[in-house]
Amino acid sequence: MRELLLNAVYGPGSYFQSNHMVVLAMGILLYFFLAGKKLAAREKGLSSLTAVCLLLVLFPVSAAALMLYQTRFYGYHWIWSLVPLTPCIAWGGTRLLWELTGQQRRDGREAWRLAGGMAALLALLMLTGNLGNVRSLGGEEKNRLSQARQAAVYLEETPEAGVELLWAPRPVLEAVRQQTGGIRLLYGRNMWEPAAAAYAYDGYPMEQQRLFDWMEAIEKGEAYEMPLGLKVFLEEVVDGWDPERPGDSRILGDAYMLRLAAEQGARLWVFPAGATERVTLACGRLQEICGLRPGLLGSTEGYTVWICGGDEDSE
Amino acid sequence: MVILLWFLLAVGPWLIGAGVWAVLGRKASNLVHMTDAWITGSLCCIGLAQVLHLLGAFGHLSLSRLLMLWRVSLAVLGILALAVVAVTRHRHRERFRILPQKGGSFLLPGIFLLTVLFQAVYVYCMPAVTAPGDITVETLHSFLATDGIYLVNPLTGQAYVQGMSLRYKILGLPTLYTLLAASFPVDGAVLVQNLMPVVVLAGSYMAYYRIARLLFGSDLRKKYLFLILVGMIFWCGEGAVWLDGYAALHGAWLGTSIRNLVLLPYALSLGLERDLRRTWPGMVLCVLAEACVCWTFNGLGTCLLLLAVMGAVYKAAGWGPFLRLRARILEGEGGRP
Repeated sequence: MRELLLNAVYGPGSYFQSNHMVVLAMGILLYFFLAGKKLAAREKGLSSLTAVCLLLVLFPVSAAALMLYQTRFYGYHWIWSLVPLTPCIAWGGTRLLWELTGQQRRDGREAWRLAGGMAALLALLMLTGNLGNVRSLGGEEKNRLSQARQAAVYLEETPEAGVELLWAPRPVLEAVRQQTGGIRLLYGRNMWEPAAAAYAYDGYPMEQQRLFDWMEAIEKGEAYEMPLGLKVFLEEVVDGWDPERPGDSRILGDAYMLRLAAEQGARLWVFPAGATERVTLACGRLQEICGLRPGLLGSTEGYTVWICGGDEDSE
Repeated sequence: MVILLWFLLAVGPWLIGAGVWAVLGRKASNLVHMTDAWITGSLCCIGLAQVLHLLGAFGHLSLSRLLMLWRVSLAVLGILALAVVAVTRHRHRERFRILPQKGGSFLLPGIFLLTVLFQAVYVYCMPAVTAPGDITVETLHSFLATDGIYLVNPLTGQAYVQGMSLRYKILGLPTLYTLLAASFPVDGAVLVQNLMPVVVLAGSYMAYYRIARLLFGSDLRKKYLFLILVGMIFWCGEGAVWLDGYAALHGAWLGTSIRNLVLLPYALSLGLERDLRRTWPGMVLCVLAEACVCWTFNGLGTCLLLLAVMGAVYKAAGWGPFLRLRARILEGEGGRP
């Protein structure tokens, strides 16, 4: 309850930052209330409802009660759905434009006055509306997304993809499940997106989380610092693995992770094209250690696809 | 086939809704507006999909069976509605209003139509912005791939180990999209993220048109100005997931967007009408439809809450002490209300 109340106290500030149009609604209500304008019964109904709902979402106790009502999975901002802001602003804007631009005066210029008023209101809406805040994808991100989609199309046409579990970098896994339901993944978007994890009670074993960390490290390249959990894990399970000694030590670690993926049931792998040399070395070592025979199945722009065959008894 | 889908999405809900209103209002001689009919028909379709979803999720019916039931039910509903509408139209031709009344200049309706057209093209053509936590497309693909409802985890395609949360499992919206995608050769992602947002946007403008009709009566210019302002608010207020603009332009397929864009404005318009005997079916449909598309686990949904607050506001407005207080504030001590 304390958490709810704190959210209700600090929530309005954060909400106003995302939507300054609230000020317009308040201004409209204040104008019609103070100016004592005559309102029709339905207009009174709309303005009173907006005022009451505004009070309900702004007053911390009622806001906390509303948050409790709408389930804990929605944050404070969602209780503002109750407030009819859009109808109130549109109604008030219409009435004000009508009155301020003298639409009842038929002198042949009323259309121009209305156009001017609408332009001013549009400017006001643009200033208060947080326009263009939605993050659009940058060039690099678009390119990565397009490459991931190409990889997903390639996988869709690969017969092995219908049988084996897929282990791949994040963008490929996202693209695959958005494109087809026929390919099963070792882990899904709920591994890295908490909001998506709310749908199921299933979690992931520690090994799969380490596989995710390793794939992230592979994808982001040398500049990316390996997560501490993965470092500790590799130190514990791989004899002679030392992050300070890249050469043979790293190949050993990589080979272990590939073997772990196969043990988890994922035998269809996708890696970034930039990591092909590293993966090839690790695959060679994997064959020496445990008899698994990973091989390159094909490649798409930005990614390589591998299949892990071999004697399963030797694992 | 896509043209047929568009046609059915436009005509099907209208026909069903018109049939429902013709039956419900058979004693009264009320007009059946296109907006009312289309929204009511859409809510009936959501309800039908919800029933099928529950049959699939808890009765373990396969998707192909559900698809057959969906087609048969829609066909039966359509034929019944057509018969009812035809008979009612034969007796009272004036009861069905397809287009707004004539009069007024073309300027404001033109600007409004242009605004809507731009938004529809934008929504239809732009790549969707992934809404955080949204798994609708993945769910649709998993239903199609497994020929069943929630047989596997949509995010991985593997069977559930611990299971999924009930609050999500009961929502029928993904099944509605899946049934539409399975009925027409349309890519699931395109249907969900590009086609359906146009439909929801259209539904939203119909709900707002209804509000405009109630607020401004027969004044067409004010009504269109109101709708243009709604369109402007959608364009300008799209900066966060919980805003109407974002819902309209970037994530109209989501349950919360359907609630905020269609159900709440429609419920508001029904409440503003203050004619419970005529509007109660619409109110009930709004509340039920919200339960089919959104999580309302602790409470009974925002539509019901809005209607309850409206009821309380109307009651309070006629309450003696409140009237006296208002009179004192507005007209000074001892003033008359």
